[in-house]
Formats: sequence, structure tokens, C-alpha cells
Amino acid sequence: MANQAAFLESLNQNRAIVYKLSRLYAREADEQHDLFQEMVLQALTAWPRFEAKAQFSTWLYRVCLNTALSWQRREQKRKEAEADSMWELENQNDPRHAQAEWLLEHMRRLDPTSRMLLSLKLDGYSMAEIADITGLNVNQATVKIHRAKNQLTQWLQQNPLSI
Amino acid sequence: MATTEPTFDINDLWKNLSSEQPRQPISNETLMYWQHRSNDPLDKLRKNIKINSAYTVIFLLAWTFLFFYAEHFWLRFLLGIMVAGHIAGLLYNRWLLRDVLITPPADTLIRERLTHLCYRMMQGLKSIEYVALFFYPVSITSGFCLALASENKLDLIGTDPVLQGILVGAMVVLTPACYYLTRWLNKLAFGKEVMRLQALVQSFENE
Repeated sequence: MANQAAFLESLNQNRAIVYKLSRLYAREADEQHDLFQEMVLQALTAWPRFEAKAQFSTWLYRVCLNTALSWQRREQKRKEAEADSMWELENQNDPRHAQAEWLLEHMRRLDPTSRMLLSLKLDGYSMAEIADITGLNVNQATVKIHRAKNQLTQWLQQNPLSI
Repeated sequence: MATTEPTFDINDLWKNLSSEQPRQPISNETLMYWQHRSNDPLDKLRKNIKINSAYTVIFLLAWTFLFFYAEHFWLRFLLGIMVAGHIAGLLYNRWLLRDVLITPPADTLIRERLTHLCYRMMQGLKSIEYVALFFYPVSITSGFCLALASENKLDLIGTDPVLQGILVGAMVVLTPACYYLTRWLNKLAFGKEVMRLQALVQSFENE
């Protein structure tokens, strides 16, 4: 139980990662919610394997990406209305929310692997760390990130942000 | 609605996204509420195999009951084959569930995990197809002989060319039919997922 409390504390400090990645890999709100749950549950399952010397955010990132890439959309409708209350966002009325949505919309057009690599890069991971998380070698990752970034920039320039 | 100049910075936009998170922290109650809802690509396959095992147990009980109830030697012999076949099926399912269809922990290296999931899923589906190829001819023969034995006419199988022709015909038609039916059903149920995983693994291999 103490172990679960420690997990929850670390998770809550980093829940923005889970939230961000669930939105990056699922389009509709209910799918995002499902994926968010799945990521949290996978993290909870893998938690006993977490080594304290590792950084929790990096570990969580890997768990979330693994979950997102193998995630299957559920057929049934969600029923847990009571869990919806926690889904309200901080800063939801902030204009930056629209900008974030706009970026996500374009990033979702990238293939899942490029999306994964680009999100890691944008979150400031070094190429060595990205290689360590994904299993790709540094050269592969560098080339893919470069292409993804170019592609994204091109799309963004074609469809400038309207606010 | 004014359109800004496209002088954005992807990094800044990403930072905006990173600053968003659900208002309320995840509580222990929420976590408990979510549990047992987890799924992964191999879950559906595992569930199918569990359902198959449940049916196998029901049939096994029925064959076992008939085995002790039957008096004719050959009838017992054939029922014995059915019982043994079903026990073998159960053991095979157990092997699939315990040793083949295992999902690696979510904190495994991403490439390694995807490759594992894809490989194990294909291995599981292939082995189910091969079982169909070997199991159905045995089932057809046993079922065919069983009907004859229950009428005390089993000796006809060795003497009546028409019956022999029907048996061979049934095996020739039904064995590939069952095999392709299994493949088709697998494709219908898991084809999209396998292709998606293969494409992901491939994207890790490319350049």
C-alpha cells in the first residue's frame, strides 16, 4: 500500500506526461481517456520493476509510449462518469490550449514512430536517451526525427495557426 | 479570426502542451476503479483460447462419460481417442497461455516489446492454424467411426468401398476447409492488429 502511495505521488507529479501522450496517440476525448487509463494501469503493473536510480519521468515515458503503440481502442462505451471529473484541465481557458490542440492535430498526422521520436526530442531527451528508450540506434533516430520535424514544419506553414 | 504569421516555434508550442494536465490528481480510489480494465493486443487472443478451453472441458466431460458408459470395445477405443485428443488440446492451450502469449512489461525497450508482441501474436495464430490442420482429420475419422461403432457396424469401414470413399472424401474436403476457415477467422479477428504491429516493427527496421 505504501508502495502504491509512492507510485501515486510520483505519477501525479508527472501526470502531464501521461495526459500529453494520450492526446498525441488518440483523437477523440473518450479514446484519450481510455488510453490515459491504460497508461496509468500499465505503469502501476510495471511499477515493482522500477529501479530508484532511474528517473521516474523517463521510465514513465517509456511505459506510456509502449502502451500507446500497442493500444487497441475499446469497442464498448465508457461507463465511469464519476471518473470524468478528474479529466477537467488546468488552464483549459488559456489561449495556449488552442495552440496545443493545433500542434497535436498536426503531430497526429505523423506515423506513430515519428510521433514518438519527435515527442521525446521536443521534451528535451538527448539522442542517446532516445536510443535507450526506444531501441533504435542514434543514427536511425536522428534521421527519423529530422524528417519528422521537417514534415511537421511544412504542414504547420501550410496551415498557420488561427486564433 | 486573425491568422498569425507562421513564425511559430514547435518547441514553444510543445511547452504549452506540456503545461496542461488534469486538474485533479489521480487518487487511490480512481486507480482501484480503473483496475481490471487493462487490455493489450494479446488479450483478445488469450481470451479466445480461454473460451476454447472451456468448451474443450465440456466436451471432454461428455466424451469421458460416454467412454465409461459405452460397452462395445471399438466404441470405447474411439472415445478414448477423442478424450486423449481433448486432453492434448487443453495442454496445448495451457502452453500457449503460459509460454507463448506473454506480454512483456510495459517498461521494456519499445522496439523489443513491439517485436515480441508481433512475433508472439503471429506464432500463436500460426500454431492455432496448424492444430486445425492436424486435429480435424483425427476428429473427422473418429467421429465417422464413432457413428458406425454405435450401430455395431464398424467392420464395414474395412469392407465397404462406398464408406471408405466417403471417409476419404470427407477428409480431403474438410481438412483444408477447416484449415482455411481457421485462417480466415484469424484474419478477420486479428488481421488488422497483426498488420498494424508489423508496420510498426517495420518502421523501426527502416533506415
